Amino acid sequence: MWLYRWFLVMVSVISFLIIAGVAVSLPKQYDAWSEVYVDKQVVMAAATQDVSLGGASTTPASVMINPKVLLNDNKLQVTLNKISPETANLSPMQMTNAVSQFRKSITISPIDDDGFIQFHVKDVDPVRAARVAQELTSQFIGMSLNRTQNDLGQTTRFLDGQIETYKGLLADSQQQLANYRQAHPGLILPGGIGGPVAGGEDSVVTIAAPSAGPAAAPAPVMPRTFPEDGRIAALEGQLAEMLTRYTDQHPDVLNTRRELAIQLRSRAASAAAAVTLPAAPTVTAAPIQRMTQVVRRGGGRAAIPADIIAEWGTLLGNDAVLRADYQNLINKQQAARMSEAILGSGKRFEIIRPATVPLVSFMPPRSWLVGGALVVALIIGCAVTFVRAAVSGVLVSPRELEEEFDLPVAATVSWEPAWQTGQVAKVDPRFIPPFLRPRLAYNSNSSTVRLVGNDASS
Amino acid sequence: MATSKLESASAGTEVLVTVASNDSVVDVGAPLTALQGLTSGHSVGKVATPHFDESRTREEFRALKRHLMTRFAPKAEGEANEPRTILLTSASPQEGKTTVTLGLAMSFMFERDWRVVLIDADMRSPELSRRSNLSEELGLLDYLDDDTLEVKDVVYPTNVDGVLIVPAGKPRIDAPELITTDRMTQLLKAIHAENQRSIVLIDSGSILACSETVSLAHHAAHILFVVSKGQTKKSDINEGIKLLHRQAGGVDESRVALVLNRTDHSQSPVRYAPR
Repeated sequence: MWLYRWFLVMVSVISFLIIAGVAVSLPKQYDAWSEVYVDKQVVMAAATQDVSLGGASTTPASVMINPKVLLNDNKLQVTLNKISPETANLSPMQMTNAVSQFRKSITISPIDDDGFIQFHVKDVDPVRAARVAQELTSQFIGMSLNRTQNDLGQTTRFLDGQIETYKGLLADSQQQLANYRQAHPGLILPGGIGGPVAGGEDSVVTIAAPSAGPAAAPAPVMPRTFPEDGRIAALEGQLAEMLTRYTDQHPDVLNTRRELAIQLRSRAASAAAAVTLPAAPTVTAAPIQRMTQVVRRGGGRAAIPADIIAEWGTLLGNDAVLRADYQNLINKQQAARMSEAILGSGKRFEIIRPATVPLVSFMPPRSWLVGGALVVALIIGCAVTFVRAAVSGVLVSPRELEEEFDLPVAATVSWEPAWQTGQVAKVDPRFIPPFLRPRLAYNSNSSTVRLVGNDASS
Repeated sequence: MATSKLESASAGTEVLVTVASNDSVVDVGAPLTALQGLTSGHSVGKVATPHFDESRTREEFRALKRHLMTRFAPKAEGEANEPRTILLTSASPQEGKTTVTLGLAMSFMFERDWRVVLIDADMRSPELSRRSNLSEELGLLDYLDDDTLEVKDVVYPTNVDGVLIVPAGKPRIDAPELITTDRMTQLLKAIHAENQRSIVLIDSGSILACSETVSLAHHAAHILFVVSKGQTKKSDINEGIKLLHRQAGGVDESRVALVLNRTDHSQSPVRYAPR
């Protein structure tokens, strides 16, 4: 490496000049940034959990757009034209380049589960950087709200249409039931069924309300219960808890299962006995059971053919299904409206830090840049010199020679600058000042007996 | 104006000034008596030497000289080469063979009762003859080609006591073949026979450029392979040494040594020499 020290110096100096020149000529850049907090876990989510559009585990509606959407060409071009109106006159090629550069100046921090999003804009003009950051923040919030509103609006319209459709179907079903019953007077309607389906929305909503009267809405759908249900539930919970700690063969688990089996058999027996007893049927089974009771008792009237009873049961079942679906649609409609209400409150998007005009450039001071350029230039110089030394395949040290050829290096001969080789013109000693004569006399006669330098001329 | 050998050696530059002031090398003095048996007393060559005022240079050549002198065992029975015949070569031209030859000659000059005969055997570039202003004189090739010539016809005294020169002579196209003749052996024998304390330094051409160098290596007991730092490529050195090994006998550390030329002071073994 020492052999190429001047080469190293030359490469380092050139590299330093280039790097330092570029670094110093770089304009100061400023980083303006804003931060938005997106609340994904809204408070009303809990209220809409059971009637959620997407299921129990999701929020009522999508919260925001992906911020990277803001970086597509069209949106960036709009933003650029808004920030710098003079760019509107650029040619398509120039505009493409401008948008590309604009995109490079924008950084959107990764979206994590915390919901914090940062918009960084780097620009030589701090004011413009702040404006762009603010604009991006506004666009993000606005686009997110618009999209959510659009989604909810479409959902609501779809649900409204579905509800209207089901309302018509339900009315038809009621009409069919009425007509069939009129054609077959022996048939009776189970309790709660056959109530008028009101055209108003409010009356429909009261279908699920237990307090609604039978005239205004069908009777509440109550599940059939048995005395053993409580014990069975307790045993099932106990068993599930035990299985988290014990194996299937644990005595306690076996005992609990045994007792649970007894309780289940007891409830089955109760259920079988209840077939002959008037009980509150479920929405789907009650009309048929009621009809079965009527037929078995004879109803005090003439016997009704079995096929009539079967068709009547089918009609009643269809009507029950339609009512259940109708109720589900009503619930979803309520969820969508709640989401709209939450969105309208504007609490989902909170600007934690608005974009401000940065006062200090984020770039390091010039002196640091120059120092860094020096270090980089030295590294480049050493690397280039090392590569050159490695590629040249020359030997530069006695030890290297000995190791390479396994021969002794008898001596090294230094290069001496005092070894002169050139011809020097003769000077008449008479014209030489006395104090210079010895030296010049030597030089002047070097053509006769001259010093031979280590010029490797042989 | 002739100076003594000791004065020349120690004075360094001064002897040059003294010699030069006569403005004629012929006037340096009559051929020295110690050389009269080998020279015919015609011309006197001029030895141009490294600047021996540089104590570091002096010490470096002294180290090289000591390396060789430790190997100057008396010639054993049946040994082919005279142990005081030293060939200086390199892998490629322009690596400093002649400079090292002259420096080594000057270093041997300091030894009492030793005599150095320089033979310019670089037929492609007879730099030694040129530096000593003997390019036009009869030389080695003339001696090898002309049986009527005697050894003393091609050996020239120099302005440095104890240093003789055999110039290259007139260029010939059959120079490599002439080198291989018995006349070359006779020349070396004559030089060594005339004075048992003669050291012959053969300044040859580059081994990769001149085929006669391999032939000369057969006559040399020691070979100094000059390597120019930062210039000579490993592959060239390797090829040159392999060539010597294949065609000029074994190459081992008792016979071949490397001389790293053009080093800087940091690599010199003489670190604290006074200037």
